[in-house]
Amino acid sequence: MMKKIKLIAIVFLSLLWLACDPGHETVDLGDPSTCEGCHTSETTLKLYAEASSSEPSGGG
Amino acid sequence: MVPLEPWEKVFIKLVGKQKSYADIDEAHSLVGCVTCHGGKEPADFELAHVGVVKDPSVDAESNCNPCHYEIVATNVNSMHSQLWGEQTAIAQRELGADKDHNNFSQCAVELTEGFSNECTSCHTTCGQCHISRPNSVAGGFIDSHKFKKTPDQTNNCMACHGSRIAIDFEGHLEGNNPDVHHTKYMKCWDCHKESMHADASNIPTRYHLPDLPKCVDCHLENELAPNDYHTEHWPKINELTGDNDGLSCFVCHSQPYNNCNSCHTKDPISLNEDWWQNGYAEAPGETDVHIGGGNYREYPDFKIGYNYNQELHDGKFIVVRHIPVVRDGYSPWGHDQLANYDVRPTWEYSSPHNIQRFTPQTDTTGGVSCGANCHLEVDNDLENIQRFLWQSDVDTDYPDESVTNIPVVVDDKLPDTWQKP
Repeated sequence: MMKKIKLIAIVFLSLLWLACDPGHETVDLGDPSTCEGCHTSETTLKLYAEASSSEPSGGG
Repeated sequence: MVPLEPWEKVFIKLVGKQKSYADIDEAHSLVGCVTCHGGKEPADFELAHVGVVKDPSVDAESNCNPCHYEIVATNVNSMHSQLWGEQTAIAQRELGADKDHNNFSQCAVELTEGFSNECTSCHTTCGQCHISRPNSVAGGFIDSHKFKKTPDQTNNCMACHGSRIAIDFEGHLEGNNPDVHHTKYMKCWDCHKESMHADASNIPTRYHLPDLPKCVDCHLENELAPNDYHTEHWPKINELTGDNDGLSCFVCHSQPYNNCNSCHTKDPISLNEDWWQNGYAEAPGETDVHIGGGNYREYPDFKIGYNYNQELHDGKFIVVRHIPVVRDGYSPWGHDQLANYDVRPTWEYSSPHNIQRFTPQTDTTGGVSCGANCHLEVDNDLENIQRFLWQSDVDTDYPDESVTNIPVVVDDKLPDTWQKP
């Protein structure tokens, strides 16, 4: 009986986790005048990368 | 390792409920970007990047020290930061066998400057282990600029230790299997518990570091069952002579591993990036030469040599690797010849990270003794002879290295009754 309850609980919690998991949707802070705003924006970084032949700053 | 696009290298990826960098690394977010990197904020792109320092940990004493002072204090003199071992090797080959890294500054200026310009450009900063991929693979965040206490095995450790570790450990050489420790999901740090930040300024070589891994940390002589091969060959001290006896574990349990020839310096005049290949002289004995992860040529081989430095390594016989140094290897830096090139063998002790219980040496398929794979009795074939490093091998294929490898060749170290080439 306990095994069945455990199994049901695991399945339930897994479904709950999947339903609530935000996944890997990225968040773009959107203000390119700040370091963080630019470097968290894939779109902005790509635009600057296309416009500049040099390597971007940061990243060691 | 998957190459990164330029934008990816500096992309701080916020996912899910993360709303700022503070949700990735709260402690370091409090410091603020410009505090370490310089530049200006807020500002447009050009102004924001004026004076920006890509890797602030180049100056760890200013930028990391306020919080991590104990680590910074020792790491400034660590092996990874200073390449003491490389300095020792150059100092010995230039100044003499009794020298070490403390004498490096006495070497010719072409060597010290070349070393500063080229070697130290890779080795290494805090950030290149804990934030980004190292410079040697063109950088890029490991995980959205998160400071990772434990570096990433693939993107950090193996980014530098590629040709001689990663390829072996993951079994990429044709015909090899991955290291058994890799197949058991072990990571570098499961064995390497020595401090990567330790001050090594008074330590002549990396093999003098305390707490280096030893096979016997986990494996006992007869851990599974009595094993005659272990009983016979286990490395030990000979009670009569006081010398090392037996075999290094690697002699039986390593597979073929990469070897290199010419030194991998760049040509500073033409800045020829292909120098590693152009400057490479393929030797007649090499087979299966390929382009390695460092973009220079290497070839798999397996050689048993004599353990001439018994203070450092266990066993009378060890596995040796041909290392990429030649007498004029630093000529691209303007230094024509290493003045004391002959004092240090170019086949050096090796610990290949491709361990298997059963290797070509220990294969007992068909009920034969594994001695049949190594011992050179009368009826042994050419294959066994090729497992050893002989003076005639060196004389034939690397005549300029004949003298320097006298200590490591096995010619007069094996039983008299054994075959010789």
